[in-house]
Amino acid sequence: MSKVRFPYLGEEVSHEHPHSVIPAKVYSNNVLSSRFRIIRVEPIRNLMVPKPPQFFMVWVPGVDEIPLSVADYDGRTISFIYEVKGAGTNALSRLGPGSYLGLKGPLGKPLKVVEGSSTLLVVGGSGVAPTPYITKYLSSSGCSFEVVWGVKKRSELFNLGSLMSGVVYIHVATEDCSVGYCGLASELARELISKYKYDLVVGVGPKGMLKSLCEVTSGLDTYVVLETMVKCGVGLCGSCVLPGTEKLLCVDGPMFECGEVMGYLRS
Amino acid sequence: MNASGILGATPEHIVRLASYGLAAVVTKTFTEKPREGYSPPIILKLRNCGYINAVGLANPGAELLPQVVRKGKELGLVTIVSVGGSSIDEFVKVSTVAIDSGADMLELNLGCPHTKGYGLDIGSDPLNVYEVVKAVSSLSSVPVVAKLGLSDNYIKSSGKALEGGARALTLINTVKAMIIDVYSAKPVLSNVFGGMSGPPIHPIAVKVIYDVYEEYEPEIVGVGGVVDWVSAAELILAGAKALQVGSALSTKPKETIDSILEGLEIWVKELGLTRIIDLVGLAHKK
Repeated sequence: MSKVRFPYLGEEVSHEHPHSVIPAKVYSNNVLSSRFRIIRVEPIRNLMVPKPPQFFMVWVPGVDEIPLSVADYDGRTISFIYEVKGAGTNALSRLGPGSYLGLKGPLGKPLKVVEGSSTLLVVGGSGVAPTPYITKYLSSSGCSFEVVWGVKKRSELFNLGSLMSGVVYIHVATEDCSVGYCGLASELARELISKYKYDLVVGVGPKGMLKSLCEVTSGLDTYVVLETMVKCGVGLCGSCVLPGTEKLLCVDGPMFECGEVMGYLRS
Repeated sequence: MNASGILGATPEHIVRLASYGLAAVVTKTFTEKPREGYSPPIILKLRNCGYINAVGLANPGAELLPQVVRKGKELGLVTIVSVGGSSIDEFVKVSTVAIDSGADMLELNLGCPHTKGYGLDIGSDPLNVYEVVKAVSSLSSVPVVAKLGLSDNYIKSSGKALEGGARALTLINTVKAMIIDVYSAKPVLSNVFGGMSGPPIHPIAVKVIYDVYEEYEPEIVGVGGVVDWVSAAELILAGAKALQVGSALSTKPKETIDSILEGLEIWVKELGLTRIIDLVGLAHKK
């Protein structure tokens, strides 16, 4: 495998241990769509450079610690796309510029790509969160890629492309057939795979979508980015074990080859 | 072996621990009923290279213990069940399930520093230690080990555990500690305080093991800041006959265990000896 170049990796700088909680100052915290928000923060000390689809445990002081994948990193600030679902994300949505939170990470394993390869990225639901950073990584690694983005209805769409750098081709699939392809993201992916050649297929989204994607791409090099409850993030408490396997999402994942987690996806 | 609390709550966890190259596995502390434990943050690394945790004895309850023990036995590992309880009755109930499941040994959690009514709340009183150990030891011939935490009474508690029938002592548990974020001015752990582990508590473990060995010469399972062969060797010289590794399993666990074992082997040869047992408690030799 050729060595992948990635921005901001230029000089080795000392950084904090990824298991420490590093304070970070909120730079902005805005609405992105009817479903998602985006928060941008600046850590007060150097973090290890995150690589997608690594994640951080984001500590909302006094409330909760939430696993969020990196949506962008520019060498100084780090962004997370999130959905307000519980007390933790609700409190996170109320943090204004100048507030402090804590970051533990980057956690998990990075995506490994071969320079010059082509990738089909299949995105659904909260899978939009790591998508901009995955595409930035692919692009800086000299890889070509296309994105399939599946949503239930038109109102869930937003300008995802504006969060990505360079020219990005996004194939939209809607389940209510209001825009783009009429049907599921995995079905559109199957059609594209039958017509074009991709070296790698990566799925990010709900479990059902990932299961279908693994099934329709059987025989291809397909990886899926999973979500589950993560409590410690460092491989010690075991709460993120994927049932039926001995894999821990926080240290072995969050990305797995379909074959490694098919039992879990079918459960 | 792993220190209790590191995985060990499900059969899948046991499979994973087995892949680390340990000679024995210790389950997570099981209580009679399931416990959800505390909300995150529950574990983080400290600026002093240690870890701090307050997990809150999260476990699926004694009902699921048999399948965890079975998995350990299936894999051919010595399987030690960490038993928790807020009363003698609970210790006895969980121990009975563990014994019936085929556990090779019971380790009584009398030292967890952060769960109200459990662990150190019971274990800091030597008389309680005696009562709990005696009640569990009289259940069967399965060896009982008392895991004690740091309290002013550790020598007395150790004596009482041995008097109650403990065949060995696991020393030490994490040490009560706390971390505050100076920007948000809030305690970081959701439980506010927790237990510190890793390198910062190693010298404390050396001292406790040394003191207890000096007093009673019991069988000791040493734990606390074992990260490499040197830290392991120190506990052996202080009096530990077996070792547990906890925090260090957070990074490259298999490599960590392999390098400790390899280093100890070289160390024994370097000292011109053939058996590591000859080094147990050697630091006491006048």
